[in-house]
Amino acid sequence: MLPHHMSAKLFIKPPFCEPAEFIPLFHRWIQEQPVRGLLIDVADYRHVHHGPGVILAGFEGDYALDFRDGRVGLRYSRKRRGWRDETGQTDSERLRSRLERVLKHLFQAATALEAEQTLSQPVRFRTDEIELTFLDRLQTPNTRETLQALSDDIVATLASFQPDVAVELRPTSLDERHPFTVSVFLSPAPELRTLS
Amino acid sequence: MSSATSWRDALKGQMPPEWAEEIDRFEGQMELRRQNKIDEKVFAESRLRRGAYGQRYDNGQRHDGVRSRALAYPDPEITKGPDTLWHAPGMQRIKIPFGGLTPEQLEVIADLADEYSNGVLHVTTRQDFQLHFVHIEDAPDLMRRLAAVGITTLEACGNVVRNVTACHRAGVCRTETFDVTPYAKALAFFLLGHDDAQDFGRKVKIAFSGCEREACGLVRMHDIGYLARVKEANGERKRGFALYVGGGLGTIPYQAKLLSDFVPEEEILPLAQAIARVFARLGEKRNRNRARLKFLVAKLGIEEFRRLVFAEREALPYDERWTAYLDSVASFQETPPTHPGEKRSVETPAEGYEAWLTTNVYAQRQPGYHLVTVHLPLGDLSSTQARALADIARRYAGGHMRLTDEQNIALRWVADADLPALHQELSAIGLGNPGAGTICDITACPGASTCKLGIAASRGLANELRSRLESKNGDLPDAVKALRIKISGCFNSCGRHHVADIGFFGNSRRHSNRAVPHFQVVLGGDQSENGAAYGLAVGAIPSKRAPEFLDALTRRYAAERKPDETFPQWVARLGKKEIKRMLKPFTLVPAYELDPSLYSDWGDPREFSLGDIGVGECAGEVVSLFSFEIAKAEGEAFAALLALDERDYRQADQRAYRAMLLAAKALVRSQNLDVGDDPDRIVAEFKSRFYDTKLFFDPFAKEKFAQYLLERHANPNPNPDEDYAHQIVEEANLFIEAAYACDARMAS
Ligand code: SF4
Repeated sequence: MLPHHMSAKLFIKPPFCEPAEFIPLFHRWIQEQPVRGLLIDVADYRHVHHGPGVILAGFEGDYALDFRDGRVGLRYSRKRRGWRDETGQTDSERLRSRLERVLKHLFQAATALEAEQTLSQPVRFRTDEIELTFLDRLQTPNTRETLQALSDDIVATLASFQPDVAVELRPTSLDERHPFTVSVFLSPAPELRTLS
Repeated sequence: MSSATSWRDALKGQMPPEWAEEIDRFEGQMELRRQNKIDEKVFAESRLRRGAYGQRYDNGQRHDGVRSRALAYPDPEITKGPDTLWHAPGMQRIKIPFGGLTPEQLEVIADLADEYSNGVLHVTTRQDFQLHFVHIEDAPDLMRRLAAVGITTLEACGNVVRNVTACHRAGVCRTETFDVTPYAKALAFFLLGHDDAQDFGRKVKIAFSGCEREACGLVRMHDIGYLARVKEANGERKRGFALYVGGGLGTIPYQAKLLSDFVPEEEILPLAQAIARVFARLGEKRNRNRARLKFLVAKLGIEEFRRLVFAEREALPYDERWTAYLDSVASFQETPPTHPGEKRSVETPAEGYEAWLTTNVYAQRQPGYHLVTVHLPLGDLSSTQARALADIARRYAGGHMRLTDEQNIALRWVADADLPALHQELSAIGLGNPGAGTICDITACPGASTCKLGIAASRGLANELRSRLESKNGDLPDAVKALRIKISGCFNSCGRHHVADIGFFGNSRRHSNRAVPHFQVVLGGDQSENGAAYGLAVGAIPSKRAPEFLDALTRRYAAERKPDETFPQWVARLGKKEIKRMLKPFTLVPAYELDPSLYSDWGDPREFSLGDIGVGECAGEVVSLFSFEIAKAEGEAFAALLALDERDYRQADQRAYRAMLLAAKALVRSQNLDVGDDPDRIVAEFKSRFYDTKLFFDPFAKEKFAQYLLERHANPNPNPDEDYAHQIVEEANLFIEAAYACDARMAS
């Protein structure tokens, strides 16, 4: 049960600036590379209701000012199959290291965003909740079995970022057609800078 | 939970076997390309023919607004086509014949958008879906998952017959002569992979329309267009089609010519085949700018083209598929979800219900039922919306959906009493917007957002115009609301700007030594009567000035039009001189220092540049028929190798044998197009043309390699073991090499 594609999302606290401001910002990020990965282009999907918003499309994965489920946040979606050399690792070790990588990308981008001076409202993230989506219906269908199978690794991975935090997982939907998604609640909410 | 670890295993038995094999073969070709064992041009055409298309920046370069920078993809030496890096993400086109879609198919495409793309499904003007930023490694699984729900991406791009389109109202339309759906479907699957439709210099687009007057099918702007007709003879009503050929948009649009005013239904497939053969034989292959069918028809003249086609038709070997489907035509019918008026209703309709009812709901010819257009801004919907829409279609439309050529989705068979509830449910997922088929429902190609040839931001402009028009939609005069806008990012017309009242296509102008994005304004097109008239370019304006110009133009039209005067008529009355005069103030470009905003495009703050335009793949790669066919053999041989690895010796043997047959066929087809797929026939033709004549003989090994095929064909091994399988896989590879050598000897 080892998904290839997965995403992680942090939610933004209100008040929030005009989403259109992210278009020039993401273009600038392509020039300045403040985040990990090869960045390719910016795609504007603000016209899609509760959609992926503004995407900073990359090679390994995409960053997005994301509006799914009507909740605004920053999402990092790992899309590329090839992961770093994983020879000799168990599936559990692989899952943890993949998840850790995805989260590192997300936390680093969130930190860069909080430091942005160009937005009309500074961005502040909530760190008491992270949404994880496993975009691989073959390996990780949206079932209780998947939740059971992945829970320990998810908790352990989050704990590796902040050891003394309590981690609680809640699946967001029981509809088997949806990708397997869990809300991860962290208590007490850690500081973003300790995560990144 | 599935125990399978790959989609290939998980979907075994759910995919049509020939499609499954085809995808395996493509996967084999991918591996061979990675090892540089297939020429990049051949692989590019092979990839395009599976709908896996290039996308902007896939040459590894991008202008960031200041300078062009390299995108550091890994392994830049591996390419998937000329100037196209292997690892650069691309676009996957998914063709949906006549736009007919089931909820299960929509759900799968939503899953693919989630997992392999960016969660957005994009509907095109040819009733296709497109997913963007897809990695080539994901393509085979993506194709398998589609195949398992009856969709093939085969021939979605490349120099082949593209998606066969049809009016989205077919079967429920009040003005149609009859339902063209079963004919469109039959032709689409008849020509799919057909031997006679593999050797074109460019793509072929086919459309069906149910009636003469309306816009839906747009047959006059297609390479081949079928217009439903009924003829009375001896007291009997006979179904058939007026057949048009040689239409097309592109840089210079051509109106199709009438090939025959009545082709009986049993003749539409063979005539299409005959046209394909004439086009393959006589169409331009070297100069892709003159390679569409419209140029051949224009060059020969319609009379000579007609003569050649009917002569070809006479010579065609009989094929039972020409008429086999006709038995099911009479019974072809969609099942309505329930009797009208029996289902749920709501007390208070959602906001905007009345406006939606006016613009998005069309009364079907079947009393009590409606076709509802779900208006998708820019043709986009999210995977979440798509899943919800699939449910809605099941509940309200009996699962019957069609993609429209205006980039929307139509739900059919919605009962009267369900309309308020349906609108409420659509509104809840952000898809209850009114304005379908109005000035707000703007068609736009991908343009500079993702297209390699895009000059200007057609989507950016469409989005800007749409939000401005929607905000004042209630105040717009009815005559203005009824106008259609269509936008292309360049002169290639994918946004169909020629058949709009107001069309735009992207270009560029220089001012003070800087590039400024512009749109050429095209006025007076008419999409009624199947695209009866094409608009004419009247002048270019800076992209950022297009909304002001549109505003001025529509105001003047509303103020000056005579009662019942259409927009094209008003444009004609106004005259070119006056239009130029009206355009003039909008053409001015201030100095960069005064207003730099005009030096960038809508939705893209980078200073405008043409540096990102690449070599388009719209045309596909023109590769020889042999090169293309032999690549199939290579893919099959590779699949045999994989089967050997998996210790599936029977499979290895069969695939190796098939690889030899395909290689033999590749040679035979260069002399006889009609060889078909029957192994006995292929081997007999190969033997008489290449073995008996010694053409295939190697200068040193003589007949040795040919014997591999002849021996395996004559004496198949009922129980292949490891040694045998190993040997035959080796032989298949040697046979393919010998075929290459034979082709080279003949060419020299
Ligand atoms: S019209 Fe031009 S920009 Fe638009 S999709 Fe076609 S080739 Fe690309």
